[in-house]
Amino acid sequence: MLLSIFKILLLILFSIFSFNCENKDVYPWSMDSLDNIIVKNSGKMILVDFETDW
Amino acid sequence: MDNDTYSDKRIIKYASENLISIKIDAEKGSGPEQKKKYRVRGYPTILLLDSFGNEIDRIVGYRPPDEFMAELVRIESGTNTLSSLQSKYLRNMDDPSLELTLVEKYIDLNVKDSAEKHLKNALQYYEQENEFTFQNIFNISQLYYRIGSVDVSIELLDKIVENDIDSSETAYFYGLLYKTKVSNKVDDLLQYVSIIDNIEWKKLSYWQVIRIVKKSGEDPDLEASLYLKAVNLYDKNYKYLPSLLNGFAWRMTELGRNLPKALEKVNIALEYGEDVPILDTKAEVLWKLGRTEDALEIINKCIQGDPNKKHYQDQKAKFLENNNI
Repeated sequence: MLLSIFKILLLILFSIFSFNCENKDVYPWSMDSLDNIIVKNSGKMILVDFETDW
Repeated sequence: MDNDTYSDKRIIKYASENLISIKIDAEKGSGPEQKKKYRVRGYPTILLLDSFGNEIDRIVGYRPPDEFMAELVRIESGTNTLSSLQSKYLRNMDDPSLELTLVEKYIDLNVKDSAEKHLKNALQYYEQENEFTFQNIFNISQLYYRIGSVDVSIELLDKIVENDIDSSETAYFYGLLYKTKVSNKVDDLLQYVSIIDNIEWKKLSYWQVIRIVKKSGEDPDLEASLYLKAVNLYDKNYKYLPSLLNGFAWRMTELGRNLPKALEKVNIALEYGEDVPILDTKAEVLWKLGRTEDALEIINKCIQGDPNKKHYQDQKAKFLENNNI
């Protein structure tokens, strides 16, 4: 029983660790609109990437 | 950009610490409005704005991670940004080279009116100070060309030729190139290109003529033969060779010409890596050559590589339809 709980805990810890690592490797795109970002004024420079599908 | 630049750990770290980043699809939602507001011409265009939304600078076109990082650091430090160049210029308004640097920045940012105003100033300065040298006037003619004032550019180049200023042959060539662009008459340029050895001028000439012939649509044989001549001028050291060859091969499928050459070129492009859009071109070439089974095999690879792209599914359907006939 204890061994099973230990295994589950290990699995949860591993998942959290993996999730965190994955996030660090992803570019931090904001889902906010440009207007909102400007209104919030974080003091940071704003990068706007204009792209299109084609 | 997503596959390398935005996946690079240094870029991710820098962006996490220093930037708020968003993507805008320039053709959807509020995209067209924002595109107009910020004078965006091509993709990708990456704007760097201050926290109030004022443009500091921009990066136009694809950049690999190292170059992109260097640009971000430059812009953040305020080096050669519009405001830094404007400040420099205001401190030394009699320096035409500084004024021309400012013009280039305005052109990069697509602010044509300001670029033109400063170009006129610089030209006046050179005329008044009797510094009508080839390099000065040639530079100004190129900048006029870049802001779309082709007539002024030609006028300046003609002046260089008329006054037989040093390197007037260069001015003659560019004058002829721009006159061809304005008149859409290709004969003089084609005749000139047949007698020169300068590879760079040959490339510029071919691309100019190809654009005109393609637009008119009247002579696909000429377009195909010039396109082949043009791509043959590039060697393996050319940075964008796979993309160039891919473009050639696809155009040949549209024209229905040079198809064996198209296959040869697309295979060379694929030696640089099995890029899915290039595989798609190869499939199209094979299909046009009547090798439908081979085309299907390749298009299946494209679908595996990018299952959500409708174009590959459509291509497969097209090949299958043909196969059943």
